[in-house]
Amino acid sequence: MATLEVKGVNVSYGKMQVLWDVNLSITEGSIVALLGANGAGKSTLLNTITGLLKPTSGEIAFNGERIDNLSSDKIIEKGISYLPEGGRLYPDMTIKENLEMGAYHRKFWSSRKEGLDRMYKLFPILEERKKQLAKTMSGGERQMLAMGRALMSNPTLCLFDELSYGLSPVMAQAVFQVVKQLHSEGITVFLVEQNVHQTLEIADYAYVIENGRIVKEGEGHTLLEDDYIRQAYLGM
Amino acid sequence: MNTFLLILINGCIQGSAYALMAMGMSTQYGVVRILNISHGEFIVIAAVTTYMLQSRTGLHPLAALAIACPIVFIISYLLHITIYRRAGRMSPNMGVFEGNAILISFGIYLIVQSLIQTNIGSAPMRYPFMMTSVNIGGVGFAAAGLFVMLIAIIICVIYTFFLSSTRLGKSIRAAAQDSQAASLHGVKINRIMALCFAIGGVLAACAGVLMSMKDQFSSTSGLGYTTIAIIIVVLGGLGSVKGAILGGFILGVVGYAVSHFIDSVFMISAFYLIILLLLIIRPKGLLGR
Repeated sequence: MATLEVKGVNVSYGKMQVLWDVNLSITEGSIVALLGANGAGKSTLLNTITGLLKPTSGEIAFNGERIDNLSSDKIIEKGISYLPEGGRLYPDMTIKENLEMGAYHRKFWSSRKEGLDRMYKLFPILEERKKQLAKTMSGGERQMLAMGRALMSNPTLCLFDELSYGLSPVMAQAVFQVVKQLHSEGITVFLVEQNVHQTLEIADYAYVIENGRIVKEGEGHTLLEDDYIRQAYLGM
Repeated sequence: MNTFLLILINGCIQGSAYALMAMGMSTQYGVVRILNISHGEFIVIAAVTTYMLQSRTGLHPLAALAIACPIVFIISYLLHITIYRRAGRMSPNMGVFEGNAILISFGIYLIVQSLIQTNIGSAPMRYPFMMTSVNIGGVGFAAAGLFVMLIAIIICVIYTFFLSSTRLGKSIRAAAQDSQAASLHGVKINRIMALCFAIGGVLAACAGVLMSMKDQFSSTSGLGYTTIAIIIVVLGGLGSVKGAILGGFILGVVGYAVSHFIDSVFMISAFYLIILLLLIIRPKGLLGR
């Protein structure tokens, strides 16, 4: 069953249209990827799903319920969590406070203690440094914190924007390992990535976006073999 | 030794009041990005309110907090949701908004200032309060001043605790550091901005009520308060509330030392000298990010 359904979505910044008739569907419990170059419209699509931008037309449904007219806080409440590009941590707040902000919504605030325990178990490094300011962490640690923060609201669908961007190959590997673990716990993951190879290896299904339009879709392994993808994105 | 104690304690008394004024301004600038030129007017409104209540009803001046704070809170909140929010929508980016906000607050300063002056004139105001003196280490200090310092420190402690440890306080800091991320976590940014502007006003009101207990003031004192608050906010680091408290106490002590050893007319010159040195040595302020 599709947990998230995007149907015929068009989005404009003022007079400039950036997304054109985007259709995609994310099956419950799967890892789905959205691949594309810089400026293709990847982040715009995520901002639209999470209510930061409103589509000019089209529908977005989560578990069969329309969410395209809801505000961000209502969308989080329904179980969608968003890790924006670059992590967007609060630099002058401690690691613990950053995590707590992930459970800021009234619905999750009272259970933030359990959330913290869960995150400290998933990312032991965060517990060691919980009193440190976020800005003092390394790139990989920041991404761990950003993931932890996104998971504090107990989401059923995680939207991860450029998880591996700017990370060393080892760190990127570690981050994708966490994604696999979430997947094994039944959480649906929507990965937006430029790191095409590693992403396609773990993705059940993937979409390719170019100039605001979905130009290709298919199962992860099929796309890895696809001539166009190999030429345009893998340089083979 | 006695001189040292005299300067330190009297300086801290003045500094505690400065800290309150600056904390409000720091909140308004650090979170809402409004450098509020009309800040001092709200200090004056609270001081005048206290003076009126005290001289007409004999009410304890501290009780004026319960009246002045809500009044200033409501006025500030309304100013934000009507004028500043609209300016925010009309400004293409934050830099333009900050410039517009300064101009708007300057306009509000002119309006409020002339309203106060035409209604109550510009005669200096002062009422008798705790006229005794307290002996500390062989030096006599005005009881009113010590009382003001005590209450001001309590307010500083409560406010820093509020920011560091409550859910609302954390959401305010989050909104100041990354408002878009905060809205993704369910923080209602518009409401937080209006609230912070109003909280800044309430801190100004607290400063006004307390200041009226120990100092003479008039309807035209506002701009002087604003100037000092700006100096302290720059000294402590723009947007840092702890910096505002530290800066307040430093200026208080320096100001008292200057007026003790030289002359009180050089007080503001000394403040500007400090800022000049600071901008050369540490431009982001003492506790600036």
